Amino acid sequence: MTSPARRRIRAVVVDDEELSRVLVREYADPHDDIEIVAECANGFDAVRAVNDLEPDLVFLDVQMPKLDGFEVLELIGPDVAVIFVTAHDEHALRAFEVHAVDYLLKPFGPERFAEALDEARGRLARPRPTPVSRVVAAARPAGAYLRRILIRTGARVDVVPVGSVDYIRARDDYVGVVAGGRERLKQQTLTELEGRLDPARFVRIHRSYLLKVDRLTRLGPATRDTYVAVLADGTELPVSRRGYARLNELL
Amino acid sequence: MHPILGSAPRRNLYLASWAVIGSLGAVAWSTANPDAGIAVALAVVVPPCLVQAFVCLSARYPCRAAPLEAKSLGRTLAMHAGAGMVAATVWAAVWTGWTGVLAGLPGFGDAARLTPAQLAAVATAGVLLFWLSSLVHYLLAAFEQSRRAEARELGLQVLAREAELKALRAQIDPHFLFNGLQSISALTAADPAGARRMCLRLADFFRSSVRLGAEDEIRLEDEMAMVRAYLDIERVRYGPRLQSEVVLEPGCGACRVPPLVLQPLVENAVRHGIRPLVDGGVVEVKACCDQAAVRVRIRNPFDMEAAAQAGTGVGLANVERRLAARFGREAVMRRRRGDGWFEVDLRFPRIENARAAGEPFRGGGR
Repeated sequence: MTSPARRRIRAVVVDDEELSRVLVREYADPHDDIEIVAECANGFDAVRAVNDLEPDLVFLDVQMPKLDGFEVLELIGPDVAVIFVTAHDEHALRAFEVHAVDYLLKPFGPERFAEALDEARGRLARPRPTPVSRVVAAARPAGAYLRRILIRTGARVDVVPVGSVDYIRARDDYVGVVAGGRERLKQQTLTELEGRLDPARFVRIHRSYLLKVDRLTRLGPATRDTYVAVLADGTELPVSRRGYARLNELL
Repeated sequence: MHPILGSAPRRNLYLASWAVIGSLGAVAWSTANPDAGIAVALAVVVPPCLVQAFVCLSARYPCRAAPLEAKSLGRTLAMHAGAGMVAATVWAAVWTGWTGVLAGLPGFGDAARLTPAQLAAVATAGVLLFWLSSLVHYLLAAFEQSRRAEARELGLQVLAREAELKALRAQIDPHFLFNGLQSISALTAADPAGARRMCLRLADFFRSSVRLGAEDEIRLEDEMAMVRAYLDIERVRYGPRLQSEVVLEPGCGACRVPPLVLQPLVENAVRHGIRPLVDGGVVEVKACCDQAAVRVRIRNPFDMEAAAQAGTGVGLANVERRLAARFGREAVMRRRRGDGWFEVDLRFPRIENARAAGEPFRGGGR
């Protein structure tokens, strides 16, 4: 079935149902070039396993505890080939937007599984990375704003509920998400993140600052043209002239 | 069917009106001929009135030909003027003929003969009576029309209600079947006996859901059995993550519920409560009852950090509407959310007798 010259493919199976993982393992068994290096039952474990083991291929369920399949994809980046495995066909469009290799609908047979593997072999032979922004965009259900911000540091994943955020600042190629006095860095631009947050709750008060409006306690003058926003904990953030106009418009 | 002749009360009322018209005519005639007795007056006036009573029924035709909604007022007026003329001419002829016959009989004499002035009065009365009859016909037509519209409206309402009920009719989420089949597929190699057990459970569950789903309402104990069967099947998928506690208080099994009202709530509890939790938890379903009411509580743990998933509210709203359709305002559904748990409380009237087939919908309660 497989030629010995073929490169080995290291795969991770992510599904919260044990029986589904058993089935993927069973179907993969006759394919000598596929090696299943880990099984994960939730999104956190999946991110950690992908980070530690750097597999070539991930079999990914969509609905899981902690992080759903698309959120996992956002965190692991576009370098890994992904085959979605789910009983729900309604995610298929989003899956192909992020260039998923294939989309297996439960229940599926060994032939269909083999087809998906062939597709994955082809993809791995000629890598075609997906732009991160597309993956990020697909992780958001259509028409909805972010409810939580996912931040990955190595194998560690922090989930920051949007409600707990105080403000977000630009730091070179990163953004610093400040929540409860603690700042976490995420590799993303401020403008990109701003686009995914509810504009009724977040205002760009400055080129480098995005403020969650309910944290603002007062606004004072800094120089003749600029202002300073004072937060509940006493933090002072610069407000540009345009930022002041935007704030005024919202308040 | 003629709007007047077609119904006995209307026919009688019409004839009674003509009896009054005939009597008034007789009084008028005897005033003009004071020498003749009242018997003579009746003999002269009543027969032509009888004829005219039937002639006036034909007012239906001009009314139908020129309905009030018609745009051309001129045409309508011309139609009625013409019809009135014809009716008056016929009546005048009947009078002339009849009085001519009477004049030849002993006891009547020339008194029976109409003077030209009298003939003119008779013709005028004929026109007016015919027009009056036209007016009555128009009124009847309008009345019929509004009644038909009302009936149509009512029919539409019934249809809409039925369609809504059909749409609300409990349906099992097809993904439940797909996932079940996936489990069977996985068990086939690893645990053939388990695969067979799962097949049979799925078959049993779907058979009862089809059978019970076709009923208007079922016994609470049957519904609880469905809930248990559902949880048993899901336990194969989720393993030890899914635990459950299903309790039906003794003596409440015969209470009536619409079929599959609890199942979607339990499905929600599993999908939105247990599944997002790494370690799962316990789904509790407890049903109890007193003299008047049945209470069911469905409680599940849930992950406070997990983002609320779309579609949670649809299943709940559907159940609420089905309960309202069956029990009216007496059905109450309350959701409560606490620190790491979610609860749905149902309360609806206790009814133990099956509703007879064809019994009309009970809108506002018992």
